[in-house]
Amino acid sequence: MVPTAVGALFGAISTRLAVGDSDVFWHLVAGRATLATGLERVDRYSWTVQGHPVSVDQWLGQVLWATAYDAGEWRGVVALRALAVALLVGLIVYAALRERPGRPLTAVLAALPAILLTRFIWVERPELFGFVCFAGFIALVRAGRSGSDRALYAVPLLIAVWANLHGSFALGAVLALVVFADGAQAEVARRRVYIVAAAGAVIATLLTPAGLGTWTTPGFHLLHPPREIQEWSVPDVTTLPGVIFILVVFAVLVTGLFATRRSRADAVLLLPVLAVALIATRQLPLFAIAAAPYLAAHGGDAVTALASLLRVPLPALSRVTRQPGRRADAITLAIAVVLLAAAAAGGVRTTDLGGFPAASLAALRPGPGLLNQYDWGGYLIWAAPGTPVFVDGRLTPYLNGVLNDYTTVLGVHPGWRDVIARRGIRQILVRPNDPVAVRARDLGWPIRASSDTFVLIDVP
Amino acid sequence: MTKLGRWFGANAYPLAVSAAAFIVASGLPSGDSDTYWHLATARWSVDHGMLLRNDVFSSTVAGHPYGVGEWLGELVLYGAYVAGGWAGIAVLRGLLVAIAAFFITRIARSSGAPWFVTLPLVVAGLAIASITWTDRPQLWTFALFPALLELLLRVRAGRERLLLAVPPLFLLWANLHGGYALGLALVAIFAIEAALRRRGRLAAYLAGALILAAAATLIDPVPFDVGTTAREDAAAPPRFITEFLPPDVLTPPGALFALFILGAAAAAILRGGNLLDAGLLLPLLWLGLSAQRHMPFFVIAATPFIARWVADVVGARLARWARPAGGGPILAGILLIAALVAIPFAPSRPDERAYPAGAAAALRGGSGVLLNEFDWGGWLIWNVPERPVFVDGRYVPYLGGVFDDFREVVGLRPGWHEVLRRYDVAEVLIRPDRPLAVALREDGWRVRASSDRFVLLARP
Repeated sequence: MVPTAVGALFGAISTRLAVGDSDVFWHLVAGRATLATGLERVDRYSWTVQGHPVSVDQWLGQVLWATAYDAGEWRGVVALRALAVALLVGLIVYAALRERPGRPLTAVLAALPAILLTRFIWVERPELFGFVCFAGFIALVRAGRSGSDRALYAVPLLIAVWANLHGSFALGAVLALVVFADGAQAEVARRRVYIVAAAGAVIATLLTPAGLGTWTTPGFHLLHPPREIQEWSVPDVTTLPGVIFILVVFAVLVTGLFATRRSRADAVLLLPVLAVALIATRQLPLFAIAAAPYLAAHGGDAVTALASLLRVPLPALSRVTRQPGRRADAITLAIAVVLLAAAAAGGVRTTDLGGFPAASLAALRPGPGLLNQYDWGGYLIWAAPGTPVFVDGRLTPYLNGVLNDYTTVLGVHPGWRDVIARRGIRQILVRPNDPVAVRARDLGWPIRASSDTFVLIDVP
Repeated sequence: MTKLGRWFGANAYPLAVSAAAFIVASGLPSGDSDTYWHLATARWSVDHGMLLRNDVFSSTVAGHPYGVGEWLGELVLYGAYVAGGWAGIAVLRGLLVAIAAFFITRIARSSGAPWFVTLPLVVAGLAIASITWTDRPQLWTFALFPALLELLLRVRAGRERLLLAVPPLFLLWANLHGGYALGLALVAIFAIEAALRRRGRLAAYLAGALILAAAATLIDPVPFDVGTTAREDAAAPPRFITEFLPPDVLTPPGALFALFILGAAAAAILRGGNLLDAGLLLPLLWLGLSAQRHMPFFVIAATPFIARWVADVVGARLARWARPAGGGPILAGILLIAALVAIPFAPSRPDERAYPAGAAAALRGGSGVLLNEFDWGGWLIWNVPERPVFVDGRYVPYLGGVFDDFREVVGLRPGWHEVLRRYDVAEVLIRPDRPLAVALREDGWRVRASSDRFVLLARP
């Protein structure tokens, strides 16, 4: 009941957030193309890598977003996002509550930092589904380590779906191997279950259109994060996400220091996730999600021990002794569905295009030759299909030199004019304070359209 | 056996590590840009018989007041230079690193863990800290922090008389480097921990030492200047300086730092700890994650904590290795002799590969306002004093106007022409891949000197 209610609440809150992630657009285009003509294994949207192979590791996530859009346009996207957020939050709370069934308040408090931190990934991209899967994975693995064979067997099924939704499945697969290996070593009687689940988890990762290739993108991104993209930047504890993250780390450390019950299983699950979270800002929520059940299970114990050490009397907290029945669960679920539906119906209906060059579309020349801001590539794929892009948020296809050329021109680095000539760049759509825009104005190049957001320049 | 002999025998292990650290650290050439302006500041003070309180090195903030709080650290550095040239500076660096290594090893040993557990941790900690082995007053904080921590640990263990050394230590430290603020925080942590554990007498002694230490820090030419700067550095790190960037765990020092974080988390979850562990680890972890130059402080505090856990895990299995075979003093003696032998081999020249040494002659022959790379400002102040700099590593005097203008012009942002005009820039010495260098070449500025690393351009 509690996870459903909390999930629905935050799902409803998410409907108030604008749609406007720069990547949502190309995911929608790819998803619609997949629905229309099947998987797109080569690029069709750029003029720099057209015909080159592209990753299909998020095809199912893209199809889900495209289906939502086709069903209700942006309102459909908002509704799907709300549903995913509700699922994500609900699973986080569920995993925490499962550890302390009699302490819903403790569970919600333990889950709260994770919920707050996931706010930064409530985006209209397959990545959101990846986080939902991760929260489900944590719940399953903890249940499995507590004795549920069914939960362990469900892990490969989850990973099979996850691997088709988003590249973060790789973390789940690696974690599954680590946790199951530890389980097999610690629980001899259940060794066979752990081995079967581990083998299943590995095989599940290959049940994708990309086969073994599924592993290339997540592995590359993890070890070579594109730091110039904000979400892949080094975690910074002086920013809001960083502050929430470090508070979770502090909570885990204090809980560990003072809790009286200890389990190697906790360390085996938490430490690899902490290592991954330290790599990039976008991965910070992972640790908070993994830590929520641990904090729920041991946080109260640690607070009691600490209070005893400091001789501070603690007020007696009441324990919920009567679990809600199925009827209460059904009523809560119905209310949650109504709440989500109502919120989605009354939520945002359009995209926030404030950061995109919408006013430039009419002036864009069709055909190849446009050099565009990286952040606007996805939007242009969606809004100006007649003008293929130079680069966009798919990133990986452009690592073969295109991104270097883009950086050279955008930053007016040595050889920038050579790149323009070699590539045949005919028009440039960038921000007014980008060096190439400043330089083009210096040189008197024709400005075809401009605003505070963008400038569209003709290359003479 | 004499008292000295007994002390030597008891400290053979820390002395051996210390001597080895000296050999490594003193064998490195100077190379930090800030070393030069620290030396120039001290030289000015010696030449004029007074502290330098206003800028005399730049064209942009000439006459503006700037901090003199590190005056003693700068004078010691300059004294080493006068005594032995660049080799003297290398020896001073070696000594400070050796002091740090000695106390870090003693702190690690205080955990009770055997040497084969503590030694890898100490070596890893020193490897992380090696990014801060630059010839600047901050090296004093690297040496004095572990010295103070070891002293406080001994005080906590019953050697309360050692607190008498605390106020004089802070009198010295406050005039050497702004990191003394961290030292005050350390004493406060121990005082609070003692008070919370109701160790009344110890808490009172520590509080008294803290008050006297804080008072001692006021005996400084500008009592609140350095502490204020240090606080601002911690609260709002200047991210445009590499050492103030958050640690990237995909770099070698960052990866080692992450291992310490994971080790501390594992030790907390699997072994637990006490109030002091929490008091030390939490704030120092935040500090370490806030900027890579602060990583060593967390590592120093975490070393005994992790060592205790590792000793629990492997200690029983490797108990026979726990005691050195009696060769410790001999090894320490050999290493100490080797350290003495290494002194004459200290590098007598700085490593100037990162600087525009090839432009020095052309610079001396030029005139007018020079706009220079931020990283080269210190080098120019020392090597080409006849050409005042635009910006340099002192950075604080330039914050706001000058630094914003600098970034605007070298990044070729809108208004770059106006910045050049307003400052009446006659020559520009920057990296050749800067957009400004490209634009000025295109606009006909004369190349007076150039290499792969720099280009000196003069207004046509």
